[in-house]
Amino acid sequence: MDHAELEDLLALAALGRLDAPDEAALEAHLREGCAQCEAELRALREAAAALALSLEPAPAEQRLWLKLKARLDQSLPQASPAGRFSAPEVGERQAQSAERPTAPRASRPAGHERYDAALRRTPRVWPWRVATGMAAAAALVLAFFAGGAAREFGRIDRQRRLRIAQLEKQALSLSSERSAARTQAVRLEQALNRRARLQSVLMASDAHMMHLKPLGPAPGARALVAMSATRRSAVIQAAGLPPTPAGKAYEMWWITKQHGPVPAGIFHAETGREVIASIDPPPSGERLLMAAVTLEPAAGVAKPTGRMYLKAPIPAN
Amino acid sequence: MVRADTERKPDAKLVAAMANGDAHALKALNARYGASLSALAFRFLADQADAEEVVADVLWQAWREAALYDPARGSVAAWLVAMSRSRAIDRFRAIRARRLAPGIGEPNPEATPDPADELDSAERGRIVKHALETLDPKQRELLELAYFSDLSQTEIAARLALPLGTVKTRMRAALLKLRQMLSGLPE
Repeated sequence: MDHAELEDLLALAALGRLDAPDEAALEAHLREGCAQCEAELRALREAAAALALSLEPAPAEQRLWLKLKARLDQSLPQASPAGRFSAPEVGERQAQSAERPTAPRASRPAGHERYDAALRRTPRVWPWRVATGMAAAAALVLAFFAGGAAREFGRIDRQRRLRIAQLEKQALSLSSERSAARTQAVRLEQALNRRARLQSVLMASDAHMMHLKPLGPAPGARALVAMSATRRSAVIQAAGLPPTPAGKAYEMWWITKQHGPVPAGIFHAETGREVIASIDPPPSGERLLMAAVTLEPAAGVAKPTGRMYLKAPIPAN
Repeated sequence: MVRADTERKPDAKLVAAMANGDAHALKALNARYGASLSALAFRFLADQADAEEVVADVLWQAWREAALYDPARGSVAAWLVAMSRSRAIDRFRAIRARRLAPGIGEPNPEATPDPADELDSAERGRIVKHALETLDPKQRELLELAYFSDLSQTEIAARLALPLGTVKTRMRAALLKLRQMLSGLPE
């Protein structure tokens, strides 16, 4: 396939409509590093996305948020700074979890049906007279044993109720174990993805690294910042920072000659855990004097107000 | 409530905040794109509940994989749209396989714009619609057929009774023209 033919595949590729052989051919071509086709594909994908977003929006936002919030509730531990919901939302969450359906309770244990059926069963082959006599006798016997049967029945019923209560308790504990495992799985996946992000920035051909040194409030803290201008990305990896206090966040700063401190993003630290967080790369075209981390109000601030925990002077060169 | 500072953040910053575990950023991203993505998924599924399930899955995937989002490879909108479209098609195929497939491409009679939608997305929709209207009707038909249906390139060519080569060239010209008309649109 020549270049013109490959170019003709770009639109279909952007729309996800290529047949397998064409897709393989185009992928091979892009892997060879054709920057022109790569750029055109990116531009066509944006046009295709605009096409999708031109549809009349469906009024779905609130319902979607409820779905997402239910998943967040399952995946975020209550104490995690990540679940920074405001108080009314926490209330909403509790109300929702109270609405979760509980295990259906049988109106009558199944054993009772058999018991009733046994009582209903009557012999069919006996001559009716004998049957009448037998029935009268049976009635007497039944009357005699009725009290005992009722007591026995009550005992079985209590046992069953006890068993149901035990099973419900077990189910509850299994379900909380399952949500704890899910929580853990989502947190691990997110942590893994952050690490992959750090890795990809470190692997960039123009990757830069910088070590941040501890200051008074946390003498054991340290951090590494990796950044890449071509990837328009920066990532901080920090350890030894005290856990973020409630209502606060760590904020990263680039201090430039032109604008002084420029906010680069907020992140949170947990006890004994290393933090990896995406931050904004330094503003391009400005001279960087220093990088720093301060403790600020949870939403972040435009100019630093809190104590500085980490900093790295940037050597002039 | 999405806080005002979160609301004003550009898409890429919201995704970075999500990667750092900020649930408010997820809420803001949903406010920005949830409704439009649902409309997109609805075009394939013709069922609002199915469409919203798809979009919830997409936004949840974005939450989990926020740290992997690479701005160099395209805008957040393109990332979300690609995920929504591919998940909607998968779901449509699964439904069809269960012989419960509804028709595709039916307009949604109940889809009315939500006043809570951001002006930004309404404005963007208006601009794109205008751009689509100025396209040659044949180009527009081709684009819409390719984008909002589950047809392969060969099936599209057969449907329009055009040689495959013509479909490819026309499609590229149409999408390039759309891109050109939208080049001033903020991401």
